[in-house]
Amino acid sequence: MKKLRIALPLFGVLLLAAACNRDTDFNYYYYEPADYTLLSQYLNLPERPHNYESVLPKHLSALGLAARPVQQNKVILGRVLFYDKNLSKDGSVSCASCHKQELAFSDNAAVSRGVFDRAGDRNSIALGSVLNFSAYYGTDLFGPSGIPFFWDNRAGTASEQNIGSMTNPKEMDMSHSDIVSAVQAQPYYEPLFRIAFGNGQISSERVSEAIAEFVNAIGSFHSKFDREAEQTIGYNVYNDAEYTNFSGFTAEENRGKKIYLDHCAACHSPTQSRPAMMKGNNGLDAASPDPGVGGITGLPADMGLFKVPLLRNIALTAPYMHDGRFATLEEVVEHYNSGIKAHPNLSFELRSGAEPKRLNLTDTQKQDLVAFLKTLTDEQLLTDVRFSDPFK
Amino acid sequence: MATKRSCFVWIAALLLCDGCTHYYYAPNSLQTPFLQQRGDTRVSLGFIGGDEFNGFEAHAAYSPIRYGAVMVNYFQVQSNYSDNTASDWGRGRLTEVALGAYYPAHKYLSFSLFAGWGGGRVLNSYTDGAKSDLHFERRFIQPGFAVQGKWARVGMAFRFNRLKYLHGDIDLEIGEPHLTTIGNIEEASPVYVPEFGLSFGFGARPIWIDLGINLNNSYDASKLGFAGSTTRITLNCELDHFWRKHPARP
Ligand code: HEC
Ligand code: HEC
Repeated sequence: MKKLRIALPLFGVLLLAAACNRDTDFNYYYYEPADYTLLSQYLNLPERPHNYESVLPKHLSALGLAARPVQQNKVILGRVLFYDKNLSKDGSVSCASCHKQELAFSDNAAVSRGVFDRAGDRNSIALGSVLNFSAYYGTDLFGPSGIPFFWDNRAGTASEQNIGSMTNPKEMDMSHSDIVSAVQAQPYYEPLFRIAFGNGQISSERVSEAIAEFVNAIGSFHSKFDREAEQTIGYNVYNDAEYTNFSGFTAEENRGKKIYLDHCAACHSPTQSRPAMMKGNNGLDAASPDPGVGGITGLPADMGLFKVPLLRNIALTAPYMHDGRFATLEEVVEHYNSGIKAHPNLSFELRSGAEPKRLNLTDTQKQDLVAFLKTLTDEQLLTDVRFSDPFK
Repeated sequence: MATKRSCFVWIAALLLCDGCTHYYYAPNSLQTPFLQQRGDTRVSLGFIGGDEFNGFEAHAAYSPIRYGAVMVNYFQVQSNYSDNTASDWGRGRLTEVALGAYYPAHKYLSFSLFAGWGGGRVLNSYTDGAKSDLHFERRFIQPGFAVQGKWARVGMAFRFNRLKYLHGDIDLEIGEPHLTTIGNIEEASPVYVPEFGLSFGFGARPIWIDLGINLNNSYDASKLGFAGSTTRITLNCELDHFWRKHPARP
């Protein structure tokens, strides 16, 4: 009895000390186990979703640019839709067919090929730039001061844009109800829609909204140019700080930057943030066969005007211009140097007086400019798994 | 008392609760059974509540040998009344056993020291029905004393807890700030939580009613989503009274 008296409290202390030292092990999940098993049969989605939030570097945020807030759940769904060939008439084409990640989401064909190998009218646009000025990209947040989509500025928002691509007979050639039934036919969409929208109901609006979230989440701001600009320009964007030589640039690249700032930045943006103007004519032809923006607005002043593209990742997005007429950056530079045609709507920045401007660059200067354009390549974007093909 | 309190909780909930607080730990009552001799048997049932949650408790303490005792505690709370969306709620429970020693220093005074071990679970559901489900183990040492007179009594105890979260399933959909809080718990675990309990009772043998408060003094309580305090009202019965041939000393 006495023994027990001592044993009891002792036992209690032992209980406390007894190191059944299991580690704390929290399991965070995003998908219900059953959903994840199903999804994993078709898709490589990480158990814990990627983070799609972005913080822009100083030289971009200083200009008031902000990453567009995206809804992660919809981005995840949008990524799958973006890569899904089932969303096209003949099951052969997805958005990614003409917007290839390894090419900064552009295409290497002069005019992209859609379903049944039909040729489109224009050269694909690289999507890697979208997020950089996303708060201004699309007309839904800032109205008419937002930058519209397409070479001819015909779509106001990313969602209008992608419905355009899906229904375009030369691209994916689907009707709204085709889209819905194509999506319904795939078992992996029910859980993805449920997570993205709260219920599994599928509509073409939801498809389009999700793809738009994905496109809006793609951002490119990790180029050599960005690294240097963040350091050298930082928040100091308003007093020609961009003219300061970048310490990490070669002499050639710095000289090229100066030429770029003098002759190109007025349209294409000194900091690669947002184009200084939404549309322009850069003198490709004296009379353009493609009316561009004018074809949409019908205004004579818009005839032959095209979207001024950002030049991020430009080294990867050959061929160049809306019709893919130039195969190399050297050809592009030569065009601006000596080839500008006197189109009636030729933009003011490319004129000297009434005549098309001639830059008269030396061969070295041309090489310098090309070297600078190559600093705009963002290698990280090309392999960023968050934007990669999720299909097995 | 209980209704008054829940009334208060209701109003507080309406005023304060948008998107609702979720707790991952709350102190159960620190029991200070008034033990005097071998065979003493105490059981109790009570309501317990805190900010935006409430529930019930059951306790038992028994002395199989002189100066030695076992104690069992069960604690269960929920918060689901604080807004109208059915998906925002929390539930917690804890079951534990303790072994201890007591020393009846006086016929009105008894000291006790318990060492206990138990486990529990906190299940929270957030907006849109996403859930977090944490399982924990708790070990504690609890020194305390009880003073019991003819009509009134007082109990006081400290409890030093080692609270370890063993495993959990957390839907990432619960979002912030909850993920940060749970991340803090994961990082801090095991957490050492000092607690203090005080109760006042009235009645007469063998029935007592206690009102008590339990305070969680852990420094990081809010960072970890721990409730800072609970209050209780408990109905106690000295069961041994019914089978003892000779009624116990006063
Ligand atoms: C057949 C090839 C093809 C397919 C498929 C395709 N695109 Fe495109 N995309 C293009 C071409 C070509 C352009 C430029 C067309 C124009 O401006 O007239 C373009 C332009 C865009 C733009 C405008 C970018 C800007 O800066 O203005 C976006 C965004 C876009 N596509 C997204 C998508 C999405 C999302 C899908 C899938 C739903 C998709 N594309 C499918 C070829 C394609
Ligand atoms: C008047 C404003 C303006 C100026 C100045 C200007 N560009 Fe352009 N740039 C445009 C427009 C508009 C387009 C699209 C033309 C089209 O496709 O029809 C374009 C297209 C390009 C493209 C092809 C983009 C693509 O994705 O295919 C490159 C490369 C380019 N410009 C480089 C330059 C360089 C280098 C300079 C300076 C030497 C320069 N630009 C000066 C307006 C301008």
